[in-house]
Amino acid sequence: MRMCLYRDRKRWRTPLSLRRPLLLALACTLSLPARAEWSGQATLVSDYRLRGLSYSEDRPSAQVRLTYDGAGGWYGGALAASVRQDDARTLLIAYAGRAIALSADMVLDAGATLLRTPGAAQYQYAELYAGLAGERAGARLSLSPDYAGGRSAYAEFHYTWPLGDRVAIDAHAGLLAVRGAPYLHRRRRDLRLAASLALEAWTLQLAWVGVDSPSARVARGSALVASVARHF
Amino acid sequence: MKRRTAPWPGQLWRRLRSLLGAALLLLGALAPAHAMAPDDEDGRDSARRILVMLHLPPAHFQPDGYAAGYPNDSGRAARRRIAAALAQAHGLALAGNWPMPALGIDCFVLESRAGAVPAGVIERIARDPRVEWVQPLQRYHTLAADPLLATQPAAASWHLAELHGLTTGRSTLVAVIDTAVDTHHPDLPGAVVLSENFVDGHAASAEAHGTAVAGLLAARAGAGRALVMALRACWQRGAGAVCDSLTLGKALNFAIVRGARIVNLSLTGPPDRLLQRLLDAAIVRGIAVVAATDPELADGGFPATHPGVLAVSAQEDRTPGRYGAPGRDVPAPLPGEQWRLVSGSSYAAAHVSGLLALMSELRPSSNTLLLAREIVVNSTDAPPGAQRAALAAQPRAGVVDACATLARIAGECACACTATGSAGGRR
Repeated sequence: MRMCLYRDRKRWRTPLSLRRPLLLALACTLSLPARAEWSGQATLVSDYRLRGLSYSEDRPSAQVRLTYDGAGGWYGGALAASVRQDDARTLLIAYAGRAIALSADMVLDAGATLLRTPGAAQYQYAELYAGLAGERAGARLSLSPDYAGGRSAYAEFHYTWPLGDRVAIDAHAGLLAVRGAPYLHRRRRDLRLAASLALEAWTLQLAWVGVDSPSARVARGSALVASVARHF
Repeated sequence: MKRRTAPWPGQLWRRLRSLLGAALLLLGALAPAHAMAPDDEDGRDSARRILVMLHLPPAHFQPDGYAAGYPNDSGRAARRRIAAALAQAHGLALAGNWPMPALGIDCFVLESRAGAVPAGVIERIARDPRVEWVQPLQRYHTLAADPLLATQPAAASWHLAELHGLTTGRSTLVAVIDTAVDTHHPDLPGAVVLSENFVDGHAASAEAHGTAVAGLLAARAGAGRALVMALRACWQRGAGAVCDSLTLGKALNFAIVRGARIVNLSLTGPPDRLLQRLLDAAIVRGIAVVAATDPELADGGFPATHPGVLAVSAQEDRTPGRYGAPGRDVPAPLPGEQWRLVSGSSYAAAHVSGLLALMSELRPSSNTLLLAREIVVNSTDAPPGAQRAALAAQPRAGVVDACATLARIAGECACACTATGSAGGRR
C-alpha cells in the first residue's frame, strides 16, 4: 500500500514559524540536568502507519527514538524511521513540550513536533499540540499551519485497558480535518486497536489499523501491524 | 454402520480445557512485572533493604505510535539501568521496583546481600542528582491488644441493627490495608470484591487481624453491604502482625488508583516519607483515611498523626484530639468460621471506617473526606498544645455518636436519637 498525500512533486515551504519555538523548547529541555532521564526505544514494525496511512508501502520499517525527560515536566526527543515516500527513505520527527500534572491522575501535555522527510519535502509539516491524559484515557488536539499546503487539525482519543501487569489493550480514534490543501480531502478518520505484551525491556504488539481516506491511493483501508520494541 | 461420535460436548470441552490450561501455564510463566526477590528464612529484614525513589516523568506525547503515547512506559528500562548502577556503585543489589505514577516516582528496592545496609549509604545515594529521595524500609505493626486480656463489659452498642434500617453502606468501596482477610468467613459472603497480596515471600492464607477488621466494617451478619478491597500489606508474626514501608506503599498506591473511597489503616509505626506522600495523594482525592492510634505513644503514632487522617482510639482509652469508637471486647470474625471478643484501637478504627461507609451510601456523590466532617461526637476536646495541630485537621474529634451522625446525614432519626447534633457537630 502506498500513502500519497500529493500527486505532484511540489516542494513545500518548511514551516519556519514553528521551527524556532521548537528549537528553543528543545534547548530549554536539554539545559536542565536535575533528575534528567534519557531513554530510548528501537522498534521493528511490519508496516509504519501514521494516522492510519502507511509511510512504508506496507513494508517493514525500523525505527529508533530517543527521549529526554528533564525537570519540571519538560521533555524533548527525536524519532528516525525508515520509510518509502517517493524519494524519501528516512522520516525524522523532532518534538518537545511540557507535561504538567494537574492532579494525581491528570496530566496536561503541550508541545510542538516537526516532521521531515528528506528527499520528499512535500510531506513535511510542523504541529502544535495540547492534550489531557489520565491513567487510562487521553485526548489531544494537534494544529498545523502548513499541512500539505493547507491548515490542519487532528483530534485523537486514546484509551488503555490494562489486563494485568503485562498485557494491555489500546484503542485509538483520530479525526484529521484539513483546509486549503489542494490534494487532500477535508476529513479523514482512523481507528486503531492494539494488544501489547510487555516483557521486561521488550514490548510486543499486534494492532489492527483502519482508515477512511478516499483521497489517498491506498490498496487497503485496514491492516494488521505487528511490532517488537526494545526499550533502553 | 457405526455412527461417528460427535466431538461435542465431551471431547470439545476436554480440548478447551487443555487449551485453557496451556494458556494459564503460559501466563503463569510470565512472572509479575515488579516481582521482588523472595525473603530469606529470617523473614523480611528491613535493615537489609532501602528504598530509592527515581523521578517518574509524567506521561507525555510520543511520536512512534498511539499505544506508546500517553501510557509512557519507555523510560522504565532507563530508570532500571540507573537503579542497577546505583546498586552496584554502593555494593548493593537491585531487588525490584514499583512505579507509583500518583506520586511521580518509581520506587526501587536495593538490598544488601551481606547483612544490614552499611551506614552512610543512604546519605551517599541521596546526593545523586538522579535520585528523588532515599529512605530506609521501616517496620509497622497492627494495633490489637493481647486477646488474653480479662474480658471487660462490651462497648456501648452503636445500634447497628437500627442503623442498617437506614443505610447499609451499599456499594461503598473500602480498602482494608491489613493482613489477609478470610473471604470465606460466614460473616463476609460477597463482601470482599477484590483481594491483592503485596507481601512477597509470605503465603496469603487467611489471617486474624485483617479478617476481624474487615468483618467489623462490612459484616453481612449485621446487614452491612460495604464492599471491601482486601489489600494484604501485613503478615502475621506471633500474636501480632507486621508490615513495612514498601508493602504499605504498594497497597496505598493500589487503593488510590482503584478508586477506594475509604482506606482503613489499623496499624502504626515511624513516620515515612513514601507513606506521607501517598497519604497526601489520597487526601487530595477526597479519600477518607482512617488510622488507629497507638495507645503507647502520646501523639498516637504515625499514620494517625498525619494531617488529614482521621485518628481513632478505643473510646474506653481515648485521649483528647482523637475520635473514639468501640474498641474493647468487640465480637469479631476470625478465620475458620470463628468469632471472638477482640480489643484494640485497630477495631475502633474499623468501626469509624464502617460508619463512613454507611454515611457514604446516604451521600454517594460527596467527597468522603468532607463527609467525615459530619461525624457527630458527644464530647468536646481541649487538647494540649502539642496536639493542637492534629486536632485542627479533625476539629470534631471526640467519642463518635453513630446514631446522631446518621440522623444528621439522613435528616431522620434511626435509633436512640435522644438529641440531635448541634452546630459544629457536637451535642
